[in-house]
Amino acid sequence: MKTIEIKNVTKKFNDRIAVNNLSFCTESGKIYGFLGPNGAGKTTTIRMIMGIIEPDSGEIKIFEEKISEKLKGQVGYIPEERGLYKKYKVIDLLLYFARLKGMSSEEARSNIKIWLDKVGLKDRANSKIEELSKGMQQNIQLIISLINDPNLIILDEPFVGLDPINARNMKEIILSLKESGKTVIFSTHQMNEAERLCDHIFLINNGVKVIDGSINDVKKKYSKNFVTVEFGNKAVNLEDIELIEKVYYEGNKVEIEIRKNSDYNELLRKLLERGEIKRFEISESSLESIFVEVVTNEV
Amino acid sequence: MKSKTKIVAFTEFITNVKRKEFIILTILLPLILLMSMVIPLLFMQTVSHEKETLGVVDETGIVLPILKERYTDYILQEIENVEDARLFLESKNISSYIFIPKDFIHSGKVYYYSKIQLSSFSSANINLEQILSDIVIENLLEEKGVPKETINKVKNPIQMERITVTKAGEEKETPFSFVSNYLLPLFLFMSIMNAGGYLLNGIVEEKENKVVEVLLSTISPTELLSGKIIGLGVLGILQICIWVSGIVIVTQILNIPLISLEKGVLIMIFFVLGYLFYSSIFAMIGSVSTSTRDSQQISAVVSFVVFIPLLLFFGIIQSPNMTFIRLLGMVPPFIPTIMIMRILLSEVPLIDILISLFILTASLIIMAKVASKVFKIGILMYGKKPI
Repeated sequence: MKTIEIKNVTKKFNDRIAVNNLSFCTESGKIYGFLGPNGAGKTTTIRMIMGIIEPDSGEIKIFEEKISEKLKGQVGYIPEERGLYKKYKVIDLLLYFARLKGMSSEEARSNIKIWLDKVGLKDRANSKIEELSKGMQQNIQLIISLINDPNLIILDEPFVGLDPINARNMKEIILSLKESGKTVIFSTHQMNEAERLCDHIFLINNGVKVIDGSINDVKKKYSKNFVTVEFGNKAVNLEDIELIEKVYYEGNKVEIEIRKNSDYNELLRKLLERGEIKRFEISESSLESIFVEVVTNEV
Repeated sequence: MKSKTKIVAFTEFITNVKRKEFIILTILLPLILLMSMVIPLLFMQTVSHEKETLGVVDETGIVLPILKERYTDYILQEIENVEDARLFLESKNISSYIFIPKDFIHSGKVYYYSKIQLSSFSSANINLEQILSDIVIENLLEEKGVPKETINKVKNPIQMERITVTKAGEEKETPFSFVSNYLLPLFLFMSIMNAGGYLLNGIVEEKENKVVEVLLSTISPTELLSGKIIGLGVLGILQICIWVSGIVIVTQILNIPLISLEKGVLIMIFFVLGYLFYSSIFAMIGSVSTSTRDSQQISAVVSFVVFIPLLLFFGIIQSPNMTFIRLLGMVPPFIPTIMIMRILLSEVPLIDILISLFILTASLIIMAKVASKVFKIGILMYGKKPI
């Protein structure tokens, strides 16, 4: 089932185009990375999916229906700008949101208990929100978004401000959501997290979709092959070797971008003619370098 | 009512009823108002213990002994002549002196010299004038051989009893009916302003906290806003109930008749409509302002508009049905205050009540519509004002 379906959506704020003719769709049981530089239109898109703001044109469907108050209940959402009522007790706050999502009081209470346990805040149920650390507050936000077992989870920058332990916790939760057949879509700037977690990537820039594909396809398509070489002494000029596209010198070390479909062994042979080699390492370009490349080329 | 609205209303009520500010205001406000009446009384009493000295230059020789007997507001000090009196006044031994010329009884002329401005406003001065006037009356009539009884009668010729006629019957007027009539509208509007203030702060806080985005992903802005208004409205009514039962207890103890049930119901209707009207305004202010300080400045102006009619209290007492007051009672922002005071203080023609109710309800509906529009647009604007 298509969990989110966006068709030709455009949104303008005054004269600035935030989202321009954007289309994509998501399916259940997959994790989607929603990438893009600051101000690319990610948050605006997410707010439109949540029905918080209306698109100027185009169509948005979730669970193959037009978004409605009832459907909103089936979406778990952590906004980018997160905040909680500071004076509320943890348990009261969670109950309030659970009830707003249509849960009965008893059901909400037992779910809250399970979740607080899961994020290690079992003994803080009666603390006030303002007494919790930022990371703990983020966990409370996560509970709010997942309390009623939604089928679609939208997370706007879920890793911002988390320490390594909480970040790992978050990753585990995202993966377990995928296991149970839900759709998770999250926006992030942390490319390594996206690379490790996502099945599929959307990259938008200036409100326009630039990349839409599975992580493997994206890598195959945009990857440049890099070789890191360390010489025994200062590296000599290598530009004249035919296989090489570009060289970045760094003392004894050089970073070589080789031409597509070139043979690594041949390169190694050619390099050996130039001097003593201490290290020869082939590396695929990361999602991060693809991101930087695509976005800077766009501008 | 939609169930989500109900949950918001309930939560809003519970959170605010537990607030320290609410409890303090609810208990303290009546106490403060009580103190504002008791302190002047206490003050007047201590004043009589620390009397100032009034110099008396009495050329008649008969006035001073009677004054000493009857006049207790000041310590009286006999002074030989006007020159000495002036010297005393300048050397600060006394702050005022009175000069009673020889022909005082017949001319009625008397001179009061004082360094205090506006001394004629003090009750001590009014008493002094009364006693001097009595002395003149007594002397003149005694000269003509009028009997003492008649003289006493002349000094105090009438006694007027004031009775207010209402549909419920007749009731005697006491100084306390003034107090309760003035306090009730004041209480009602304190309560509206208070609940409105909570609404305003709540909205601005949610914006500042960014909770609003999570909220709006689960409920619609209209549900959120109406839940808040209902919850805080119930809070306001609770507060009024507490205060009114306080007034009822006091009036029962002092044996002052209460207003009729009919009037009470009408007042409550205007109270609730007024609350809804003003809370729409507060919601609007909350949705467009970006910080608590911002919103408080604007809301101070609104509160001022609400309280202006209270300044007309004495005008309404004098002629509650004059055209100006009637017209003012049909201008939306003033309707609740003016009408509540008119209903309290007089019998208001039915047509006036109907017109006011109609205008208030109509403007309330328009206001609520506009407010919910502004709320929808304004609530998600962080840091920049919507155009």
